[in-house]
Amino acid sequence: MSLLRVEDLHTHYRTATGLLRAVDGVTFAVEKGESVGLVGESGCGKSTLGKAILGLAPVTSGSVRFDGAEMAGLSERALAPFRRRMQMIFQDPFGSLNPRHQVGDILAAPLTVHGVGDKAGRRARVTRMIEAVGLPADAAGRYPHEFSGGQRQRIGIARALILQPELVICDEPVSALDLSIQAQILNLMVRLKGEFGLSYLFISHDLSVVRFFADRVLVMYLGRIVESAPVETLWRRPLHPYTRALIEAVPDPARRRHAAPLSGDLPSPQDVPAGCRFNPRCPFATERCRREEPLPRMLAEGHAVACHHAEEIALTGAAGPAGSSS
Amino acid sequence: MSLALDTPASPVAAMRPRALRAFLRNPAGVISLGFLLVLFAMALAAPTLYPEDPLSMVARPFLWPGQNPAYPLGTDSLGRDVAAGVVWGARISLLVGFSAMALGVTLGLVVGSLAGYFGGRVDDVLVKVIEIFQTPPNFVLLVVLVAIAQPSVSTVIFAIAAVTWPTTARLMRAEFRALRSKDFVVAARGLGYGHARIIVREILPNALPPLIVTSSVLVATAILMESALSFLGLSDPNVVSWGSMIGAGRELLRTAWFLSAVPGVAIVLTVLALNLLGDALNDALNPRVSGAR
Amino acid sequence: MKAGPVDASSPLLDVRDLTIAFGDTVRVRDLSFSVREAETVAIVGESGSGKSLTGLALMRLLPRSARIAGGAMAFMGRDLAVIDEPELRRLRGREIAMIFQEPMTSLNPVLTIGAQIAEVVTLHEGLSRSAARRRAIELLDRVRVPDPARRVDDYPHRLSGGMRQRVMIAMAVACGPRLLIADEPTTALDVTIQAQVLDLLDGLRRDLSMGLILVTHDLGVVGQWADRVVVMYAGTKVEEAPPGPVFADPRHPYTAGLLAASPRVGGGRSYRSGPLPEIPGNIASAVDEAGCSFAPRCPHAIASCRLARPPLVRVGEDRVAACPVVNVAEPAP
Repeated sequence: MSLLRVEDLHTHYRTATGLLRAVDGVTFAVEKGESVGLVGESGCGKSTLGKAILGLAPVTSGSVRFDGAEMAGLSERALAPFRRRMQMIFQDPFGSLNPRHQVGDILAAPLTVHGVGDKAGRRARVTRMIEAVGLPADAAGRYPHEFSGGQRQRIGIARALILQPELVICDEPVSALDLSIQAQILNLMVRLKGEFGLSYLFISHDLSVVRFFADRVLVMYLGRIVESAPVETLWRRPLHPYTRALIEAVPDPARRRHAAPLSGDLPSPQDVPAGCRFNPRCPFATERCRREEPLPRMLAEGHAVACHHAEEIALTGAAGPAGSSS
Repeated sequence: MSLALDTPASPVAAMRPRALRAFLRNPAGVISLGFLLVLFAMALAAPTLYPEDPLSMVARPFLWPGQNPAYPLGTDSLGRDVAAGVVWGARISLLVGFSAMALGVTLGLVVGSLAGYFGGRVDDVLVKVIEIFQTPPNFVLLVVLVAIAQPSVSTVIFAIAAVTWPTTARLMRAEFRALRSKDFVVAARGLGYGHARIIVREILPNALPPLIVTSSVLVATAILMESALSFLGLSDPNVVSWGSMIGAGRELLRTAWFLSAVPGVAIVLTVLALNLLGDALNDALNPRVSGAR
Repeated sequence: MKAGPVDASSPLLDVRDLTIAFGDTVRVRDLSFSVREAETVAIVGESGSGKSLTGLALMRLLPRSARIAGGAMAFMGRDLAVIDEPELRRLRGREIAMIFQEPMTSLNPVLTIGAQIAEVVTLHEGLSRSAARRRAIELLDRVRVPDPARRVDDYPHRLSGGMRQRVMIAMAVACGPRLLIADEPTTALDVTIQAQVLDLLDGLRRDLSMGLILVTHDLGVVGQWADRVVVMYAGTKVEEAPPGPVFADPRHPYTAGLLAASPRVGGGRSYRSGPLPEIPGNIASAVDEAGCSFAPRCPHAIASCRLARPPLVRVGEDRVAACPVVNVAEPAP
């Protein structure tokens, strides 16, 4: 059984200017011990999807099953037992920690709320966790603002792991950090995965980071998953034109003054194009694409793509130098 | 703030060192605080300083300030000691000011935080309630409330609280709305915290600074309202207050202007001190302004 | 420095020993670099490196608490470090322009984009109202905003981030500046939009043959678009070279560490093949460092590194690096 199984999940928001389809029919699974990357650009719904899974954003319809148990539509109270087992790491290491609480309290509070251990036991667990994420030993008595961005992210990770969850949803965990700090945090998260037996859903706009971190990648565009594949397959043989463009758009010294692979802006999720959502920007779009929305098709072992013309596009060669390096 | 939860350090303590240092660097704030403390001490010591009833006749009427050293601020048309009136009046002004503020802020905090935190239907209903209280002009509502109930110190306090609480409620609603979508609140939900814990432990400490600032201004507002009511004779006739002293002196403005001026100055200084204190607290509690990051 | 018209061989901008300080704290120290016509120079570094301050100093837009504490910035026969306010105003927007990271906050929300572009051209070229409007439409077309005649009357909030950045670029190039400073111009944008905007900037650089200073933290952007790279760490230049050689063979331990730590450049690393090489610690350790500011984090640091700031030495064709430990200095030509 999959650890997490999401089926036909929709999150729609009613706004003053119309219906916003943030997540519009998403199906995927995360297996035990797996790191699944979720990439897409802003407004594609990837953050909302992460929050909807945890019950932090509304679920309009569809199913979220954790370890076989349905959790979509449950009340906050009924969600509590799930929340011990699945946790979230946030992007903003400044906004996600309460500035008025000491680090020790930030880490101990989840244990208090869930009634884990006695006071001494909780303190011991906080101390162990501070050590596990590589924070200085005196961190417990200090406030978040006394720490650098990278160290705050370590606090956020410690808070997410203190209840010993099985699944951790990471929403752009290193996007706000400097490059030299990114590597520290990514390595830490990989190490903790082994130590705590975690599974990750790793949400990011940065393909390179996802490529390093994930076993399998989901590519999201305007509320839908357009391609999913094992990480190396996706880079070697991207089948969806959007995936190819994403890979090609990553700035790379090997492509000096290379023209932009895609023209046009991202459409608003309030105004989803008819037919294939990607058709207005797609260089391969045909009449059929404007009329008929493609469904995900399994084209190879573990490689699904939602494109009418995936087979023909695959024949036009790899995406570019970055896609072909190995 | 004492919250009945096992916190090692209270939220206010958390901001104490930096904010206190910032506050102490602001002369206007420190002087205002000093003035208010002296005023408090004076009000508390009133029974010792002037043991007899400030409403009783003690000397010849219309003594000017300085004319008789025993009555440094003079006497009024009935021979009552103006200095005793100011000192006893401070008791009423401060009592009404702080009680009305405490009552109004508590009510406003509860309503505003619930409306802001839960949003949706709860918010719709509570906002309507707030609007009902805000629609009639403040002072008209105040006069009507006091007129309906018998004018007494406690009815004045309740009436002032009833017309001022919507200010706090709106402020807290805005703060809670802004804070509830912050990542640390989302994180708290994700960790399975209950609503009460999130409201009291996570959001409230972050919403306190503006509340503290508003509270000090609200005390000033309440003192002004009480004075205005007394001036109109809509207050407890058995106690002396700054407003009632001005009211009594107003017909003698041409011959004995000091009868209105002395309590008037007391009101101006107190209200000014409270406003300056509010400004100073605002600067001190706002990390961006206070410089130290 | 010499005055008068610049000949083709001399650089468009020549910064010498620029030092920027906040009170007594030096945030950029003895920085020198130059930009030629139609050349893209990338200033790359992490937060705290002083790269953005450098860009602001060139426009004399430093925050109030900061000051230029030394050095010269020669631009078209003038020293930007010392010229007076009126002359500065004549230069800004006309000869030298800047775009910022946040296209959301850099545009005035209550004016239409057309009005904002028109304001620039009226100010500097004294165009009439209708001519300015025509010009605004032309400029929008030039930065490839679709349907410019209609878009000109839109308010900023109606535009996406990418479109707003295009509008900022249109305003910046309205008067055909000789030098454009782009401070993290694509950091807030999505990767496919980032590619479009960089492509656009590069096209404008070529067409207007203007110098382009690209202030960025993104090594990939540098490698793809820059002609020369200035790597900064904690306020000092640690390496300067064309991007090819830098990526192939970094000659400063910081540059090398940054490249190694990046999952992007050199592509295709996975966690299964081992952790990313880390640079330990953080940039805060550079404070109060008497010697090389990178020494506290440097794997090659030796005792002498912490005693004196290492000088920039020539380490090859058109490149310098500030590390005597990993480089054997070549004699100056």
